[in-house]
Amino acid sequence: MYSKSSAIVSERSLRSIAVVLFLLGVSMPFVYAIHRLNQVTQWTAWEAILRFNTANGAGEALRFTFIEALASAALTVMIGLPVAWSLSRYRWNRVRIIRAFLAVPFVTPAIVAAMGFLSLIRDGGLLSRIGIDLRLETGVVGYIAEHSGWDHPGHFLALILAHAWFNLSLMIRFIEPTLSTLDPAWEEQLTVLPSGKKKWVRIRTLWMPILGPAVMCAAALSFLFSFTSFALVKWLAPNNHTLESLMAEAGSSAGIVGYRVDSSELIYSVALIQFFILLLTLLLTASFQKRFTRRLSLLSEKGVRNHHGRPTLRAKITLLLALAFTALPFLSTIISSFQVRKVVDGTVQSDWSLQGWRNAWTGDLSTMGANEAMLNSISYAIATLLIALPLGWILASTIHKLDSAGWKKSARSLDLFCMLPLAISALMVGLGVLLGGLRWYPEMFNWFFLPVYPHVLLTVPFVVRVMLPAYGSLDPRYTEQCRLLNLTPIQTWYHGTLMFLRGPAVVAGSLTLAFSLGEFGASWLLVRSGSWDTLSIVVDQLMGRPMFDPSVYPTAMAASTMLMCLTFGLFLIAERFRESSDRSGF
Amino acid sequence: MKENCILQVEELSKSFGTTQVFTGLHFQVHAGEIVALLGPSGCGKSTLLRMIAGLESVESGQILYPEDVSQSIGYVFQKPILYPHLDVEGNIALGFGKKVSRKERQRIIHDELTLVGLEGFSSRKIENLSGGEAQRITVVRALLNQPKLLLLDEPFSALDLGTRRKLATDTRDILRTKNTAAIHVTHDPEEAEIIADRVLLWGDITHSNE
Repeated sequence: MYSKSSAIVSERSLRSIAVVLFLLGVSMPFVYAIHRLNQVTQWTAWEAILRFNTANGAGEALRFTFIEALASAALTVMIGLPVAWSLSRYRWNRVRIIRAFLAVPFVTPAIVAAMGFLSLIRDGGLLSRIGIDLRLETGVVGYIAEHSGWDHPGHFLALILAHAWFNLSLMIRFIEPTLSTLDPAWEEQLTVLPSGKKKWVRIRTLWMPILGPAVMCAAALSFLFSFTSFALVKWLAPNNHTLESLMAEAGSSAGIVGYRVDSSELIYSVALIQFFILLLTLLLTASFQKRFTRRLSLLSEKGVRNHHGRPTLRAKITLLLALAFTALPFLSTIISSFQVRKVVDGTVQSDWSLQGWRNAWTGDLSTMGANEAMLNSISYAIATLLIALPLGWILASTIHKLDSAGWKKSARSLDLFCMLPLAISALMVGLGVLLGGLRWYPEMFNWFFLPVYPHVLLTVPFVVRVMLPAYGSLDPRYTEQCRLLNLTPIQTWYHGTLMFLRGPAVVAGSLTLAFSLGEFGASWLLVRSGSWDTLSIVVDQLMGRPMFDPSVYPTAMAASTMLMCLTFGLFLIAERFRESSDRSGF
Repeated sequence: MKENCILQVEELSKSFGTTQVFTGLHFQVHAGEIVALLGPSGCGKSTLLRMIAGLESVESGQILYPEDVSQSIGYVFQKPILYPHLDVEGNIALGFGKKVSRKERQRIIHDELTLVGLEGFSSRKIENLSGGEAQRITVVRALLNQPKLLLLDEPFSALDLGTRRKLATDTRDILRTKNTAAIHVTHDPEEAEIIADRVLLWGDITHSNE
């Protein structure tokens, strides 16, 4: 026998504990960090915002960050829209595999993406071989730099191209579900109306209302991820600072009373400004997403694809180019990991060798071997999964429960709060833990599992975003039937909920593992001991070494390839379980 | 083409992949005439209308109409297609073939809505319309540009019997008032009788596959 009332009380307690834990987990480090910065700088938060321009390099960094994030978002739309359109409209063979492949960049660790583009643009890389030298800026790029007075246009182009590559899947994930299930009658109705004969009217009347919010949503998220990008900026645009890289540089000397107060002032101002910009972007995204939910009548994807028939030549070329664009950085990284530079008769040549892989695996006196680093990465990822998945799951179910019980405002507030870590970049989360933790409990910096804390904060929003739509699509009759059969709450949950949420849970779990494995910014700040290094950090350390040793570069590329393979394996599992109706956007 | 003929279909065939939908289809429609096409579900009636409207390709046979008719064909789908981000007036206005001043537009739409018993509906939101009201609006929109030929693809099939009969009668009256030719596809013999000047049975105008 069990008591229904006690089961309800324990369910509520569990939900309350999860919500309180998450609220405290997100806010405490920041409250402490703000308090500490306040103490060091003697500034109030308002003063910190007002004095933003006086912080060394902050104004210039803000300008660059804005421009690169806007340009990246625009380029993402320009590349992503035709790709998403081509992929969505026609009857492609193996469309799931194509879609999954195009989505791979989004889960690729930032440091791997940076290495991929670096290997493409470096001297001797594919782009420089065809005359586009974005790294040393010779040839056409050099000409543009010289005549326009633009500092490092090559670096800027490489950066926004890498961001567009990274965010391409956002466009596909947001646009494709709508387009591939849109009843063709909406389009046909317009074509048989006099006004609909004009292309502009069709765009204005049909495509803009349908795709506009989805495009804006994807563009806003592209802006957000480009704004907070760290590893790509660090390696592709080394002569420029974004707000993120500025904070990273000053982070280690901030928060100490009487020492380098300028660093604390900079962090204080920049972090607050960045926080408000990102919060505004997230609010805008939420508003676009709300409009996005007003859909026209949808049909089965198969039916719509069959209606439009086989892809046109233009669609085939578009998709082929997109696949090549996606694959190139990966291929380039893999090839570079097998190439060791050598000088023969005064000329530089490349030799095929496994030396990079051997060095990467065993490590040396100054850098940890990939075998150990991989173990650290996996340990952090599993610990993150064990906390983030149940926590995000309970939060998603709580939001759903609040929403269906009519507590719409509470549901929306909790949903927004769960997304808050996205408004605080990985680096800011790391800084919050670093500065807040220093004051609260300095001993925590001796914990091996300290990086798990920011990893959990950063992955919970993704778990919530995947699980929430899945909860929305649950048929309540199954749970009601279990209750009518007098099953226990656990049996009811098992048969009425868990069995229907297995797929989304595997997707959320795999993405959590993948994001934790590839996380760079927070770990870079928080890993305090060489023996805790993750694979991402090992790649960064290797690339920071002087390159006169010819094996350094292939070693970094080999470590990068290992990380890439680990992440891809997890992503493939996620895609295997992703349902075709998944509208999570991730 | 024969004199006074607005549409002539000759030996028309259609297949999707290996599935033959119909073969040797032939009939004609005269100016101002309302023709009902009566046939069972799945026989290819909608495909035929889509071919006439240019939404499906013609494989063999031909569809002939005078040049001025080809640019003046209206279409009412089975399910009312009204864009939810536009109000009733915005949706109807899509039917104008030329630029019309705002005042003129409002006047015409008001008159047309009055004609179908929907006076005062101009600023209504689409989600607040019943199925019958939505379908009347699609009929108004399709007729706004005074097409020479209107194609009605079972437009009343999703409605209850009473509304269906009423709408069929109203549509017939409007078509007669405007002297517009129409092909009305249905599988309901009574509806065909109400609306049409002439009823064509599907079996009589095609070469049977069986």
